Amino acid sequence: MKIIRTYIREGLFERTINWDDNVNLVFSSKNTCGKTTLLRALLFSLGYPIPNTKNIKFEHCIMITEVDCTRGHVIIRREGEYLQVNYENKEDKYFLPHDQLEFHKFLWNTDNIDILENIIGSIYIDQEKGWTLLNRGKVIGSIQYNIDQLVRGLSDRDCSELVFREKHIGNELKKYQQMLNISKYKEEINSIKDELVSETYEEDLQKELELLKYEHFTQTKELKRIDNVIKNNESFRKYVENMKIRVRASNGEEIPVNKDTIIGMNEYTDMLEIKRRIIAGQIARLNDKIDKIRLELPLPDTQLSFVNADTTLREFDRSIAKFNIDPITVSNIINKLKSDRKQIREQLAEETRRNNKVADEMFEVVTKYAQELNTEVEGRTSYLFTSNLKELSGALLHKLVFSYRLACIIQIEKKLGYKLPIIIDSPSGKEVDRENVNAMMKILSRDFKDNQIIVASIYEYDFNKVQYIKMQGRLINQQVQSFD
Amino acid sequence: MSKRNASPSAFGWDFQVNAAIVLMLDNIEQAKAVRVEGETEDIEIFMSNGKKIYSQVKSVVKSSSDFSKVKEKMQDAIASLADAYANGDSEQLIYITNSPNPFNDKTTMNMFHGLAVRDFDSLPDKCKNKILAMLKKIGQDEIFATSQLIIRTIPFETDNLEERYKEIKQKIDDFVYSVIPSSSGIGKEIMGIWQKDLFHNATLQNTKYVISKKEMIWSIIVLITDIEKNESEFMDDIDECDYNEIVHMYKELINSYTERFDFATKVITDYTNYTYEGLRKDKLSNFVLTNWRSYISEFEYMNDDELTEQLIKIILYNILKQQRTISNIKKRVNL
Repeated sequence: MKIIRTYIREGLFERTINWDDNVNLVFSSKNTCGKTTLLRALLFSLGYPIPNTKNIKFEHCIMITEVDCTRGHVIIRREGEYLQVNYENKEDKYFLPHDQLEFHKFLWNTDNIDILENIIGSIYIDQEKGWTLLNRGKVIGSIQYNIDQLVRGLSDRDCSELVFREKHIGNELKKYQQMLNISKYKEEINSIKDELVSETYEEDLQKELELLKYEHFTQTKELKRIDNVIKNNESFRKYVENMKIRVRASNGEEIPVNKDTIIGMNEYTDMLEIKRRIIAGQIARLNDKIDKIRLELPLPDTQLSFVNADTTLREFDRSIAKFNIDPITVSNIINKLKSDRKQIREQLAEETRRNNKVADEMFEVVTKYAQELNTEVEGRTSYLFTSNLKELSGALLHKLVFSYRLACIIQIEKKLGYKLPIIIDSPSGKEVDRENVNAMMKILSRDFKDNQIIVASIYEYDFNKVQYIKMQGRLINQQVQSFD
Repeated sequence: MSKRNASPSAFGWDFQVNAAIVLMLDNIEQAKAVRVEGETEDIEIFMSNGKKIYSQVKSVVKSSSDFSKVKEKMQDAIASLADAYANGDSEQLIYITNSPNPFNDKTTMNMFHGLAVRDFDSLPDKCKNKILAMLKKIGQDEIFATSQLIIRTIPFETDNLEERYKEIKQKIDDFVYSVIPSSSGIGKEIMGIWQKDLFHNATLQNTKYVISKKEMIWSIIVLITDIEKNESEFMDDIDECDYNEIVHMYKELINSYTERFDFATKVITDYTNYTYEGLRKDKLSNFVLTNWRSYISEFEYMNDDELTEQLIKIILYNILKQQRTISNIKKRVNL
């Protein structure tokens, strides 16, 4: 596959880069002139989720990249999330990121997802992470690279079942990990603030308040009722007394009929008075209790209650305090899941690596190039899958990474049946001397002369034939001629 | 010390108020009224014969273990009671404490356990001598009438109020039971009301304000005759569930009729005039059964005939039972 040209338009400015079939050196004598931006823009225009550089917001640009590939001459136009693809008088539209995989199946002409997902990791070395990415990890943005997956893809070993299970367990682990964090946080707030943050405490108060209010309501009603009875009895007394009745006792004594002589009347007055006092006392006590609880409860929301951070935090703490998670149980689950995952990974590795010709061949290539770059590699294929990078020095890793990429490219090309472009950003790392970089370039020009090579650097290298793409000032530096 | 611990002075007030309750109940038949923080003494009980019971109250927060100051406290109390005696109207002079060891003498300690009442003559000689020595110290040994002196102990300790008040509550329960044996479960409520009233009384500057026996006793009557606290003991012809439901639903209506003097006095007079040939204990239920229809005109606004009948019966029972309770209690406490 060859990239013919890339057109970038941002606002009123545009730029077209015509790529040579062979070696392209994106070059500037100093840094920050848009070399990295150009390389990333190229990948972005091919439908990959590439993060911006600080100079250009890719999603605001219109990018058109033309490629020659097994599908013929393909024009890819990307504008934000929309991808329009023209080839052989046909036009396809893709919506990213949803259709990303579909488009790449088309572009790279393969349905092998294990390969597709690792192509960028194989052909592109980013200036930031690329030179430390050996066999698994992040290429750029959210694009991952995994040697096991690639090897499985290259050797047609389908482990999708195991991979799914591994992912599934990974997801669960993430959730349980969060749960554990929360339960730890919960323990923390419980031990610090105890009842203060517990919603149940406030809820209990609120409930108690409702009960007290209800009781207050009934007692007040009862008080009114008694007052009413007292009033009625009083008017009955006045009514009787006003009649000025006098009665004669059996001993002939004349007795006026009034509250003192009416049997039981004073008793009733006393009784009702006490009743009234008891209820009034109860109401007073209820008022005290209600006031006390109101003081403890937070102020009801007023118009000033635009969400403030404190309330949100308290709300959060209260919600957490309500959570009922046992950290020990969660820890146990996490340990179990981790051991499950470890088992699955071992199984996956076994499935991937056992008697794998592709891996053997790749390792051979790695060894060959590493030796050429004066680097010794352990003599077993399993080293291809090593996860022990700590003992590798910076320069050593740099050279190994390069050898790995080339080995991958060779195997992928073998599988797909066409040559891949190689895109390398800033091969001159801090710890790699000129000599080594030249040796790397020499390998490229010798063994990959049919590949399209794009290198961004502040140095010039010895290639037989090289197109310089000079960067000066801004990357997009021409006024738009016509808005098509 | 936890912040819930009562300060010694609040604890002292609490003990004083509760001691007043105990003293009132001790003397309920002859007493007329009580004053906490009286003119002369901590508690003064006014008797119907015009005399007074003077009482000095001393409390110790950790009463069951701390005896360090009990003798000084008793010395102070005796001196104060001697002053009260000088007023010339005393019937009894009582020293009340929550210490089970008021003489700080382990050998006499067991006679002061629980609610103990010891007049001077019933004390062992060494206690008598201690008191006499205290009187001598203030030059009162020749004057003071030891025959009026009583040492009274009331257990009263801890911050757990249930525990602190348990003897007080028991005393009230016993009293309520002695008045109306069928009543139960109102002791705590009565205690709350009396404590509140007496505490309020203690805070009034003017010592002329007293709590009368009538006020205290009427609180009991009101609570005992509370319709919702009453059992359906006389009501053979109403199912207990129905009874409870009606009482709950129509509490206010029942109470209002029971409290209306013009209506109640009619029922009481009818009952007084009602002659019944059978057993005395059946008179009440028989009266209700045969007479309830004569009050139906008062309930004409009701639609449900069965409910009306049950309501009238309940109201009649209630009025008559209340009447009986009032007269029983008044007789018992000499009101």
